[in-house]
Amino acid sequence: MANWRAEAIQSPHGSARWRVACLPESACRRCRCDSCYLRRKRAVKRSASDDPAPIAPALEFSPDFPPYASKWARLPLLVSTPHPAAVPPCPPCSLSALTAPAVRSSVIRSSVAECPSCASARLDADTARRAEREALAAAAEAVARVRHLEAQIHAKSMLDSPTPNIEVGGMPPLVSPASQANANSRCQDFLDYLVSGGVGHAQDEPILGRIASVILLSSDQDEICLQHKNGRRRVYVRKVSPQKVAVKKSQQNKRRAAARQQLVSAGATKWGADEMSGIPGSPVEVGGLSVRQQVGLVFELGISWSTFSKLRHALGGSKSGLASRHVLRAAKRELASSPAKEVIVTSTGAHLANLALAVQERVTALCDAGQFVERFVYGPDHEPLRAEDATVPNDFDPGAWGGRPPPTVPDVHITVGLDKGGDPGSEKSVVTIINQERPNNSATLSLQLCARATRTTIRRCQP
Amino acid sequence: MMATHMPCIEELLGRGLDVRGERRPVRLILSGDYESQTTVVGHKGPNATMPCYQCKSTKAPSIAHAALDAKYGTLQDVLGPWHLRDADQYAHCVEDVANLGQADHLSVTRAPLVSPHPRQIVPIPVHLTLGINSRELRLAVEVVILCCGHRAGSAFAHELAELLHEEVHVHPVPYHGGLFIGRDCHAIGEHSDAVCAALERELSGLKGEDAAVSRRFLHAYKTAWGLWNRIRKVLNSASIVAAGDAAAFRADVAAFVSGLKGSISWLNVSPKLHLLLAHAPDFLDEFGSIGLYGEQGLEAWHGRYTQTARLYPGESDLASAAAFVRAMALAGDASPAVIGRSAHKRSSAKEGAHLATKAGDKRLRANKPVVPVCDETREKAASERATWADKVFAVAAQTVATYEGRLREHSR
Repeated sequence: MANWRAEAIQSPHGSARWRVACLPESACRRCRCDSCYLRRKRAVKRSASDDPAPIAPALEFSPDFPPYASKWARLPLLVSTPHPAAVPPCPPCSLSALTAPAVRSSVIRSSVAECPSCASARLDADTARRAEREALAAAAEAVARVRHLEAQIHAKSMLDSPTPNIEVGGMPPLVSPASQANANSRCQDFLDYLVSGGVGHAQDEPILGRIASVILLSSDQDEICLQHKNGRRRVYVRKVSPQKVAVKKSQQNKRRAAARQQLVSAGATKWGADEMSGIPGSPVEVGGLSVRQQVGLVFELGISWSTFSKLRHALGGSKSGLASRHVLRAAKRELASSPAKEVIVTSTGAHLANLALAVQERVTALCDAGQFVERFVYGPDHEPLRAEDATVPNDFDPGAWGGRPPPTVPDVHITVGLDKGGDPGSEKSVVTIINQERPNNSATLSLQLCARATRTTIRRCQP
Repeated sequence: MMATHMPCIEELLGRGLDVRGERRPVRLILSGDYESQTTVVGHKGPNATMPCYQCKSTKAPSIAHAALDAKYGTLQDVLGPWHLRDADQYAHCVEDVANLGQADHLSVTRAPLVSPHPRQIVPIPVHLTLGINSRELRLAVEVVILCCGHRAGSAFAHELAELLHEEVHVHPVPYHGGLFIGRDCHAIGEHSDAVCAALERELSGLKGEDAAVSRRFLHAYKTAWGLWNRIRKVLNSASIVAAGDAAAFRADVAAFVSGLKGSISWLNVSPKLHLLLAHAPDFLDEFGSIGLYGEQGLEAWHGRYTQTARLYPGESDLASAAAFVRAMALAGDASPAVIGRSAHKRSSAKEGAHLATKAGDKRLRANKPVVPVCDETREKAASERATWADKVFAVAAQTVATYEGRLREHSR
């Protein structure tokens, strides 16, 4: 841009190219950005390494940098960047001379003992800094007032003349408020130059485009009326795209809703989200799996804790409604210590310690889940021999019936089975509660294995 | 092994179970395969003189047990009646059988581990399906051997194996005696027409008296498949069947076994056929379903343990088994029934929604791309089919030889 300006300034006086090149240069804001700051810092370091003498970093800009126009640059140098010229030389004091040179930061200085001259200099600097802050605050307040007044004047003038006319390429029949005459003339100059095709260098086009955007978009007017040389008049109106008061669910939200439904199916939670806005809310329990059932699910699927943790993370972490791995492991320890799940190991195999408790626990779970299904004994006409709501006698002795109660008494059908097979070969005894919808799929309660010791024996016999 | 749990089972029977605050008695039903059932109740097994653990029928007519045969009948009597064992047959422990005769111990020679009522023993629907399906296939080979000779019988056995592979897409498994198991049995039943057509082709070249005999066999064979296909579905149905289905089941079973026995004179009624004929209809009438009480869930534990045992390693197999049992005890809290309760319920599809309506539909097997199979797998499958055919032929040839020998003895 500097090259272009240097070239364009050589153009004939009064030409559009010359006028654009003569536009006032605004304060560069780039010096506040990270890249400029880092570049400046690198330059300071580089210069510091070249010259071991203490140099104020903020004063040593490279020549191609624009002037540093921020308010921070106006602060006294000795506050942020002590300079040997600004800070009086410190007389040799015991600790400061030993620890760091005088140009180092005040952090070091505050941690060590100071001599009186240094302390007085610091107090002066603090006083000056405070005064500067107060002055800056007063100036900012004044600027705000001025802007407020200007805005009021501009609004009043807009009521009088809402649309300025800008003639492109011709005589300037510019009709504009007096407060914006200067700005509009600049705008006119710039537009003249753009229309005349003076932008010849491809490398300048992006920058000029940005300048055009700044000039055209910074206007507060709702309409810009341009009149071309051929007499055509174009009016550009600021148009705000209308927004619906109530919008439907987006496709993304529809997908989220579908995923949410699946999560609920997987035993997670329902989201208390706003249906219209799609703003996610807090998870709401909708009969998902309890922690106990989640522990069971981990073992039912045969997945590791880390796999479960990854799945939970993929489903949204804590928002998925699944308990964390640590919670599940603690619950697993508690469950495993319950008498119904206690396992004993004998010489013949591994067995559930108390089969009766295990069966009772499963029957209770079925009843709680509302999945206990009545099973009947049927008569010759294939009708149940008891009513569904029949009750057991008050003084009955189940043991007297020996596993075959009368058909008129409500009972629980339980099968006991034994089978041998599999690889590794084992013998399994299984108790199944028939009083559920699909007993073969789900009700197998107890499994005891008589693992053959052949493999272990062979392993031990090997040298 | 079962002795470990006997105190718990007795406690279960003695105290009952708490159901919604109400204490209920427990109805104990014995499941498992035939061998395990006989083991649990202390029975001698399928080779005993009285092989059935529900009735007192003897295995076959014999001189040694002529009195028992006359009193209780044999398994070969397909018309009954069958004399059921006493209700306390297994409840009373037999202490010393050495001094007891067959009429006293009734082939129960050990103290039972569990004492179920004889009417509350499940008639093993899964194993009945496997055994009778295998018997039907072997019957076709026996007919070919009897009508066309051993060479033709061997060729037909191999042809049958290829036919089942090509048209029914079933494969014999390397275990369980190298037979067809599981869904394959149902698939073979659904394609029984192909088996019957193959047998008909094989017997079509016969002339004269052999042709008439073969036609009689063929008719009986087709009828048997038709009856068995109806029986199979009710037998394995895991739901309470309707009264009409139960009555039809009883009639079909009687027609199936008696028809086979009447048409195919060398057929021996095995304990499984006897269970199907004599006790399965009674169990169905009493409890409304057989498949619901079946041993399918028990058999599934073999596969479950085979697949997941590696997840529970231990210092020894015993430690591994203990870890597995612990895990399964915890897994019971999330059984498929529990998960299904909270799962999303899909509405059932429309009638015929999943059926292909055009010849070029990609859902048809013929229009699906061929799945590449490595040569080793193909050779192994071919080897297993050949093994199955050889085994079937060997057993069929022995059966036919025994039958022919018996005929020769009678002719003398």
